[in-house]
Amino acid sequence: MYHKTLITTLLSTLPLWAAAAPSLQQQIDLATAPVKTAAALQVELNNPSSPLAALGDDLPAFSTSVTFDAQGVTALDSALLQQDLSATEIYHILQLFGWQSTISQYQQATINTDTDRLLLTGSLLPACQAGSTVEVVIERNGNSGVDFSYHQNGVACSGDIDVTSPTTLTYHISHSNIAGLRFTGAGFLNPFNGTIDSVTVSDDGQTLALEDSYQQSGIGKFQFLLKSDENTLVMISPDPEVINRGVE
Amino acid sequence: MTKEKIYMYKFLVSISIDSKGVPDFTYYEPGNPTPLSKEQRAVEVDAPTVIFYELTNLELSPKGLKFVGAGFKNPYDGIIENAFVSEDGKTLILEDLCKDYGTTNFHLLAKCDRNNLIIISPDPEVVNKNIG
Repeated sequence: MYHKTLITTLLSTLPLWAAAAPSLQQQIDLATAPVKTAAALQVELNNPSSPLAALGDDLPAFSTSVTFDAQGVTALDSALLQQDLSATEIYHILQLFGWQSTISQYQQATINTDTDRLLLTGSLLPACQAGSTVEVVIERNGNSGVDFSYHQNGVACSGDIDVTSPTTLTYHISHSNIAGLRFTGAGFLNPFNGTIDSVTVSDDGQTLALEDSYQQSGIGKFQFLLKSDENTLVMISPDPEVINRGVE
Repeated sequence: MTKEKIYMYKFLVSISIDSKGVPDFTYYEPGNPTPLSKEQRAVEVDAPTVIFYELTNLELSPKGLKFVGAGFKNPYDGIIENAFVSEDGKTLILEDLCKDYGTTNFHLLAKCDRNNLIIISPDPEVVNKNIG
């Protein structure tokens, strides 16, 4: 059995937001980071209750990968953080360097608890089930954005679907305050990883089906594509996931 | 009849499949072989503008590659008015009539012959409008 996910290749690099102006919260995180120098890292390495202890045998390689400038950490080996750590453990390590706002890049992290799920998906809701249609509510909030929420048989769920056998995953727009809103398809960062084989949309655009032949383990991260009568532009949703568990 | 100046930005986009099988988007300005960074691709707009994205290096791309559009997290912010794709799918055109101001971002959408799934570009393209 193997586990494969093709969401993001994590490199030893500056956090993604470093290229753009950091937000106020990111500036606060950096300014208050406990570890901003090589000396502070050495002190942390000598602390047996440090979050870094979760790295186990990878700790020497990880600590070697951490580099600093006058403001704090400039690079670390994020691939090492992915290995066998939970999202919460990774978050606590990133917090040492003021990099906790990058937690969403660590989608390969283990989810053991509700906190892990919250850190990675921004939602405490459970995944939807593969067996029945996921109802999608899509509401526009003035000009500020569009909210997506999901429920199944009357129970709220996150929009992600755990898959354990070949199946067709169906999403249906149950309510929207946007005139003429309809699915036009689904978009993938990696449409060739075999997690999802094909996408079909019903004639009225209200139902979208993903064919998952369950050939590949891994996470199929996708975004709904929709159009409405309000303009000609295509809308993309936040990214629900299809997670194929344990394909041999 | 009044005559109005329209500004134009053009980017060349190369979409190849990397060694792990993942679509890789690289952007260039015409005539310059150095790839553009995310910041260099941000478009600053203060007058009506048309932005072109044209596929390049098609010999390195998956067969049948073509643009199918641009996807917006918030298509109702009024910053980009229209998105079109040329008939041959090689060019994506965004029209900004400069009626509104603020920042918007969008992802490029493409397809190829390998399956019927749509490829989304990983990094958002950013347009900043600075009219008062």
